[in-house]
Amino acid sequence: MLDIENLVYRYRRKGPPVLDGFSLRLESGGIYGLLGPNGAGKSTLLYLITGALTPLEGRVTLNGTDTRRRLPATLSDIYIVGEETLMPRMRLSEYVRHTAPFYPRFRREVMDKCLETFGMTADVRMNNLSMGQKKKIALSFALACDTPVLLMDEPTNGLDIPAKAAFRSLCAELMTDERIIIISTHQVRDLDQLLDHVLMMNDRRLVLDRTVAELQSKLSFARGVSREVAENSLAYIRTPGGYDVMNPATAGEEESELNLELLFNTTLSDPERINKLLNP
Amino acid sequence: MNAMPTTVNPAGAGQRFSLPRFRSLMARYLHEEGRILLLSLLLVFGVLLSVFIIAALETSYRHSRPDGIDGIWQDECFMETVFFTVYAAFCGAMMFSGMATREQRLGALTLPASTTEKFLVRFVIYVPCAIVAFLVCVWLADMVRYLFVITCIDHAEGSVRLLPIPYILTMGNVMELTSYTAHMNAVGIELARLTNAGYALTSWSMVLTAQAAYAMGSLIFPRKAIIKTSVSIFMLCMVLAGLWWASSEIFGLSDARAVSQDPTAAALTVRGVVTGVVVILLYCWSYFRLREEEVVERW
Repeated sequence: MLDIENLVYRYRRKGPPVLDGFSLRLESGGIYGLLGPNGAGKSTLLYLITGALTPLEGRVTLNGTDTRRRLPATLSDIYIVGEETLMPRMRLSEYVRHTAPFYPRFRREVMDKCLETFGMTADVRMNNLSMGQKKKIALSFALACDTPVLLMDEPTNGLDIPAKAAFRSLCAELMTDERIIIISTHQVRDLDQLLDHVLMMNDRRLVLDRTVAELQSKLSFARGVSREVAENSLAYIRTPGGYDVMNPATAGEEESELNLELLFNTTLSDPERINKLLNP
Repeated sequence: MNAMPTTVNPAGAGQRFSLPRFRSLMARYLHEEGRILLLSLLLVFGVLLSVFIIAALETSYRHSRPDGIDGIWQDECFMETVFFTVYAAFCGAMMFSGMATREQRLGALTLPASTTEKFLVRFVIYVPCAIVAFLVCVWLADMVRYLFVITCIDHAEGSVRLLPIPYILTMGNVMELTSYTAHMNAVGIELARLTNAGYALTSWSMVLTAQAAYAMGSLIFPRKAIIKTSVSIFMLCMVLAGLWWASSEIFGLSDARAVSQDPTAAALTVRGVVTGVVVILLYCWSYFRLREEEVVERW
């Protein structure tokens, strides 16, 4: 279990806090989508979870151990894929040989499977690859490490369309009840079918923390409706095929597919309204 | 893909230091940085060799000296001192150069090894190993210079000699090279011995302090560490010199400076201890700075 308690963090001593009294508890067995506008503190939160940043107040604990202590045992339980992937000057097979021993649960067969799914091989020089290829390698290694906590910052940036689909299927397949996966992203459409928990950050705090099942049971979404219908709904956005709308779910209504983009826009503009709707 | 080695990071292993983890970290680091380390050593060897060969071409090998000294040794040792100090500064600056960008720092900080292991791996490579490697380069460059002189310069067989290892280790601060012992009494010999020891100590202090200061600088200034550290050291020296001058004037210490500068064994010991303490403190500071290092530059 990952506990984030009352985190306060600012980059400059007299600057505004990026996180102010931020608390969150993440249970194992969930794929969490961490959404928020630029500068909301998503990457900062991921760095604080890994212990690569020191909070001014509060702490992050993984199974009771403060991650900021950077103990090898804790670090081997957390893996982060950064937004930009930096590759060392060596072959992938050599990198695996030299780095995998630091992760006790690393599974080579998973690495091979991920590489195969992404259409890659281990016989490549890591620093000579394109951005997308580097991302595929980083994601394959991250998934193969099988760490209880896997953090990914914009994992689908730079991936082509088949690779995005491959990534979704690999994440779903490799998810276990002992694992927490946190995906920070702006590309909500790439991942809305994958997440089972939505976290939204804005203005230094968490404005939404709900499971997808809960959102689907309390909100109803429709796509491509007319302007008249849209204007009578709780929230809407115009799309090429008409209007996407969101409304409170009515009793007995069949669950609809979550529209994360619409939910995101509505929550950021009026978080109180959404939370009241979800907690009547 | 090759067979995967056994894990070095079981949950029960030492959280401060574990030898298998240290070994794995060292192997990983050497594999990643090995090519750059090797190239920089080749560059050092090439520069030393070029300078030694040029000096050999400028040296007259027609007459052998009666004291058995090769005329080039003094030049070689002077150049060794200069290059050694510069090389030590570069080595210090390279110690944490792999943590210059946010992505590099994230990779280094989140790798499952302790701060002690991460520090020690870099320390071992860039301090003792780098020093030994440089001294070996000097020895090899001198050997090539010797072979070059023997084969390419006529009548040089009687006067060309290999630079002895004690000369390399003391950077030329030896009696035979700097003093005319034949004309000295016992007191003079003792004084010359202490003077040479003092110069050797100064040379080694420059090398070790530069290495430690630039290592510290590479953590404080992740980018352009060499330039920024050099400027900082220069400014620090100016401030210290100013303070020294001001205190001399204010407290009337100018006369004290005129007191005999002849070295004593006790003074040399104190200087050695002070240098040692400063170097150790700089490395300790670097270690604690690494422990507090963050993925985002807050400077």
